Amino acid sequence: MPKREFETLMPQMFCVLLVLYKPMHGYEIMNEITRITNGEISVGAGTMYTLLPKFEKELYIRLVKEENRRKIYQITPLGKRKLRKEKERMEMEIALLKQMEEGYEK
Amino acid sequence: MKNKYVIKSSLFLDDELVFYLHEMSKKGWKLDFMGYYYKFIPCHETYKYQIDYNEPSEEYLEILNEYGYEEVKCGFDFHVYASKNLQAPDLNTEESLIVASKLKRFPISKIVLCILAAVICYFIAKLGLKDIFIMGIGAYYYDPESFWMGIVFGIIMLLFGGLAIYNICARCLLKSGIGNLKILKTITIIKDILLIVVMSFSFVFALIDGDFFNIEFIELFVIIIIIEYFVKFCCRKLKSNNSRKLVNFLEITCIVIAWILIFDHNGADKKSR
Repeated sequence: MPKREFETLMPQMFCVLLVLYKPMHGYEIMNEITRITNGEISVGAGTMYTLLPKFEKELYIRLVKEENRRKIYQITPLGKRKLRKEKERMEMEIALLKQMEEGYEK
Repeated sequence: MKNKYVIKSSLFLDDELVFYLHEMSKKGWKLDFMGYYYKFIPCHETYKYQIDYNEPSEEYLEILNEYGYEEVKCGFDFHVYASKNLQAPDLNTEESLIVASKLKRFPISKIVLCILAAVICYFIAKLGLKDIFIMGIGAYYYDPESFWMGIVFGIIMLLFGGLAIYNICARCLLKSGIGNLKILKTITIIKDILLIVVMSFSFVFALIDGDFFNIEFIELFVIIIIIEYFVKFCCRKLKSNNSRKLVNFLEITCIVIAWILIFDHNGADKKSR
């Protein structure tokens, strides 16, 4: 387990943050993630509702409004920065992988 | 068919529990209540069960209803849901979050409080039983209330002690991430039972012995807690499960030896007097 929570984002966490570029509520988020990943990644309802308050506490997302008791969230600049950081990390990993593979081919 | 009652302990291995409940529902038993005992009622439908640690909001319950999950009464601080739809999606899909929310159920503050409560109960029990040992059984007729108060607090102390050990075990098992290892789990349960038995015996011995002012009981308690922490620390560091098993076995031996030594020492003391 990582030392600090959300030090690295697991795929499911990443997707939740990602789809929140558009404001939406929990159920929509789950459907949207299944749609954009073609069912490759699906987030359970329990995981979803554990994640949302945690992200809100970390200020990655904020509550936009409440409609028919449904809380609608959107990503914050801090959340976007987190995603970019995550992108940098993944790019670094990809670069390392490429470097390794090329090294073995030679 | 009558209702079926089962006593089972598998608190921190969800997958096993969910599987067990599913198997039971295949055999025609539907879970009706879950607490320190499980109550099953006869039912012909098969259910899919889920264990969840979220505090359900209205929005959350709406989604659960959509999946067909309905809540089963549960005496613990988590929720159990059953769905007739066997294809209903799982609720918790991220392993690290599950462990985090389970850890929340065994906070360190709870362990510390349990130990403190056990120590306080010990002193109250001692206060209540003091007269009996000084004046003999006559004191009981003179003041039966304090005798019973001592006994009751003694039992409460044991409960708190057991609870503290249980919490420590659960916490450390979760941290070391043992998954589904049955043997390790069995050893831990045996160890817990042994600890409680050893502690109860110590208490009873301390009572019979009459030397209640000696602190060997509290000594034993402290030693057990220290050993427990040390073992859990080792378990977390050790990678292979065999060495973890070994450490657990060693712990059992250590506690038994500590127990024998302390009481033997006490007995020798008396003889020399």
